[in-house]
Amino acid sequence: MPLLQINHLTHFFGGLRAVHDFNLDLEKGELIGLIGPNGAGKTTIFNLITGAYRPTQGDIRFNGHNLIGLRPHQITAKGIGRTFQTIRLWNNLSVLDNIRIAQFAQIKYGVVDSILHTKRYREEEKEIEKRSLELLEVFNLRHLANEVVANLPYGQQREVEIVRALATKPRLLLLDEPAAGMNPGEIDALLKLIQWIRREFDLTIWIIEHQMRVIMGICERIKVIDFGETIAEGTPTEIQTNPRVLKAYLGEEGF
Amino acid sequence: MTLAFFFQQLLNAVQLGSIYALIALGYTLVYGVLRLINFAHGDIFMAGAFIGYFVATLLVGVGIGWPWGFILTLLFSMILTALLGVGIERVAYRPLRTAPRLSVVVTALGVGLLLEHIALGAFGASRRNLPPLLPETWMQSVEINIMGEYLSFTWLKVLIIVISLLLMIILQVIVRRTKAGMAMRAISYDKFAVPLMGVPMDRIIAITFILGPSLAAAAGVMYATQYPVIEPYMGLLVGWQAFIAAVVGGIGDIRGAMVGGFILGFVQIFVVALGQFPALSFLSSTYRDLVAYALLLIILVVKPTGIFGVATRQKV
Amino acid sequence: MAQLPRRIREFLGRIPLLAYLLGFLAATGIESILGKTLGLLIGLGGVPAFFGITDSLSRLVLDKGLGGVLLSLPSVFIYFVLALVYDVLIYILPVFIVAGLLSRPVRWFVSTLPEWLTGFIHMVTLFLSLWTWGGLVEYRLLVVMYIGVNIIMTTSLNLINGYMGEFSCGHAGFMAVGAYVSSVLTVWLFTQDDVFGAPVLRAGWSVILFPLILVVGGIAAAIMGLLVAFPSFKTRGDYLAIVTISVNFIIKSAIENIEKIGGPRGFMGMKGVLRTMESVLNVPWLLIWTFIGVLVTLVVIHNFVSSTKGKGVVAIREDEIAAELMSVNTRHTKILAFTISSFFAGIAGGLFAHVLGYINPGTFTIFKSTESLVMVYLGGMGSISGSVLSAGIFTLAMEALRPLEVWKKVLIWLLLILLMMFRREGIMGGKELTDFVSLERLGLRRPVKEVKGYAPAAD
Repeated sequence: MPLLQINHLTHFFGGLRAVHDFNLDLEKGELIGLIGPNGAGKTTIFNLITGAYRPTQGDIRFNGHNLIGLRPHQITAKGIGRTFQTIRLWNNLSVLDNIRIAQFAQIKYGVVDSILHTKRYREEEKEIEKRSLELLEVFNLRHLANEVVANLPYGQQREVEIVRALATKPRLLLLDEPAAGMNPGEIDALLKLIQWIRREFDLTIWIIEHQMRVIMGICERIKVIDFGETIAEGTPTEIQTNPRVLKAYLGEEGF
Repeated sequence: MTLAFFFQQLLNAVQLGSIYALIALGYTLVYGVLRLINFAHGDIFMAGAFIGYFVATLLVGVGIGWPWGFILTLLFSMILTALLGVGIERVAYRPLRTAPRLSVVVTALGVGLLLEHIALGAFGASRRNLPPLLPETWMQSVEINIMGEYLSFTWLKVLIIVISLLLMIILQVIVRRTKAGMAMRAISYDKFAVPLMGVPMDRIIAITFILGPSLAAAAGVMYATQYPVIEPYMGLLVGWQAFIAAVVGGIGDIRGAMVGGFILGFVQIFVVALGQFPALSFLSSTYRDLVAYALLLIILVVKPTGIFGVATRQKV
Repeated sequence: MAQLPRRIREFLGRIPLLAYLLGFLAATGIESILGKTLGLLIGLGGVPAFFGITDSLSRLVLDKGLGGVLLSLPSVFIYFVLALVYDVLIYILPVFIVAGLLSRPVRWFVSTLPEWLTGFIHMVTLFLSLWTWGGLVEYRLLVVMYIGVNIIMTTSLNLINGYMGEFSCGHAGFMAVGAYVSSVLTVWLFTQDDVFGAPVLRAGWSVILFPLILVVGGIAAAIMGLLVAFPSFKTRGDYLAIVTISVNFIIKSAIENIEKIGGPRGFMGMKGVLRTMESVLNVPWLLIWTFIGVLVTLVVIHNFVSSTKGKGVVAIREDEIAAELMSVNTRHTKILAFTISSFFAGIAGGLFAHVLGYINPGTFTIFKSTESLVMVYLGGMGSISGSVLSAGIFTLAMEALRPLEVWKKVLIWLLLILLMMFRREGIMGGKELTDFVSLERLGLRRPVKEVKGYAPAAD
């Protein structure tokens, strides 16, 4: 059974059709890419999967569970983590707090425990902190744990956002334009990082990108959408030569 | 309910509603342009009434009576209150234009309470009466026969309704036909793009703070001719009702303020009126405010943006 | 010579908190023995209630126009200077002398005890000094309890306005619920009353049940808090502010329409409850419960917002959508925040009603809510110690400035506006006191011994 199954996903904003009949079977361990020009509806698909929007039509199943109608935090708790196109960290909190809060779903103690500092509370908090620091350690960010996020440079904020997504204990990681605003050198480093994360955390990864060359190197399979419609699907080489894709990217004049 | 009784209450409701609508417009205009709930607006209405009181006392003192006394009182209190409004914007709000919105809202709340307590300190808590600006006969009730029932009304009520409608029409003309008005409407759609198009924000905001307070002043003077209640707390009592009206209609929308004003006027008048029937006697007049606020809460829960407001979708 | 101020500062800086508290206790002791004599001797006519500020201001002549104000200024000034002499002799000198003398022994003493016991001793010393200070002039005791009530109000409102970043403007409504529910219960159960008749329970129960009734009032307020919590799922910012205001008004109007509890005229009889409690055991019950109430509020809110679960509240402030998408159950968190906040507002209301002995719906209007707002913003959003400080300063200032009558309020709102213009982050700027002075320095926590020769363990 595929890890993620999307059937006939369609979404309207008012009268505007943002996504039309999107289908996908994502196997465990895959690394796929979704590309398309700006405004093609890529982020909308992520928002539909993570529950930020409720689809007009269609069906999303993750690991056999139906996701439609669940609230975003429930979907995250089922094992889908994500990052955002523009960084959405909790800016005035420390790096450590950002990572700790992302483990909200794993908390089992109640409010009363937190107020009375019961043994259960102390144990769980200790565990959360330990795990957060370990994660930061892995990414060489531990020395920044008590730094306020807003004071970090852009590149490190991007990394913290990925760490935060991993802190939710995902099985599927959705990366929304992770290379936005990066120079070619940084992009190379990022791609290595993504492949490493995939091995290290045993993840299935889905990357959105609008610059084609970014994910050509690492994705096994790529889907291309434009105006909400799927226009191509295949291996990077197939995509690169597909006339419809070239047309979408370069326009009629490109030919 | 008899027909005459209904019409009589309808007249009362329209009169109260038109005063609410005039004040509500001030809330809505400022919200449209600055996205600021100008909590001080109720107290600007109060200030307008007090200014009207002093102007009227002066005019009556030098022997200017109906009709010029009334017209000049209305006019001068509108001008002076507009100056107050522009002054408040200049001193208290403008320095905060780039500050977090919360700070401005808190400032507005503070300005309102400041005005209220300055009035309390300077003029005391006692209620004042506007000196007689209208001929006696305008205040006396007139009765007309409708199918055997008597409908009583005063010409004053009619006057208030007529002037309010006139002011609303003038406002509509300003907003629809003048450059400044169009800029105001444009800003309420997109406050980022409009300044980039070369629209002078400071001037548009100043105009907003002329229009809102002058309408409030007119409402203040008319309210004071109808009820003998010029006092520092009238901003709290009447202004808040108007605020509810603005929210019910959809704050930021001009039609909304008018419609909201009339709806609230109807609801309040009819809650009290229905209480006169034995079967509904539990509806004492003290329920008036309760009903108003309950209405507000229900509207906010069901359609938070009011009747005419358009929801702004949160971008994910 | 230039070294002297610095050395004095260093010396004062090393004195533990407990020594200062004991110094204050000593000062209040000295005042209760010598205060009246000294006050008469230097021409103050007795013990000045608030360091002489109120008494000097009451010499202002307000009802004779500007001339009256100007003419009365010299006498205000003279009284103020005399009061300053009194303050130095009675408070400042004793506090610093005693604190200086006790500095070493206290530091040694504190280091021998377990932390919880140290904390307890601090609390007891603080309580005793407030009691003796307040006991001297009855009005002071009242103000000390107002400060307590305001600390609870401010800290609980800070949870919403500071930590969660919503703009709640109707906190007084929840206070009203707590005030009425607990007052009605105590008056019904423990006093002879025109409406409710003879006391239901024996007097002895009053002492035991009083705190429980306060909690019942708090729970009632928390339930009303849901009126704001549920709309907050869909509505935010300005509109939620309006919801809170309308809930405030609805609660006030509803109380006005309940004739049985006095309607707009108000409700009284809580003084009788206190007499009943004091007839069982004559201790300052209200001061005790206010003190405990403040402690509980501070501990609960501090512990909540510093737990990962409670930090969800801050995540909502920073970016609600990201919070929900990063596994924070925002609805659950909002319900928690609003119920905890209004619960404590209810507790504050219950205490307030019994301190005042009389309440009416007009007490709990948007004015009262705005006062709490001023205190939150004065202290700084998201700072518990800021809330405590500002509630103390604000309440004292309100009482000290009482002779200014209405103009006192003008000053308050002016202060609020200036605060928004020039120091939006408040006194503490979102930081806690412990960010400036460590608990170890204060003597509240034992210093962590440096581990000598520490080396990372080999793999």
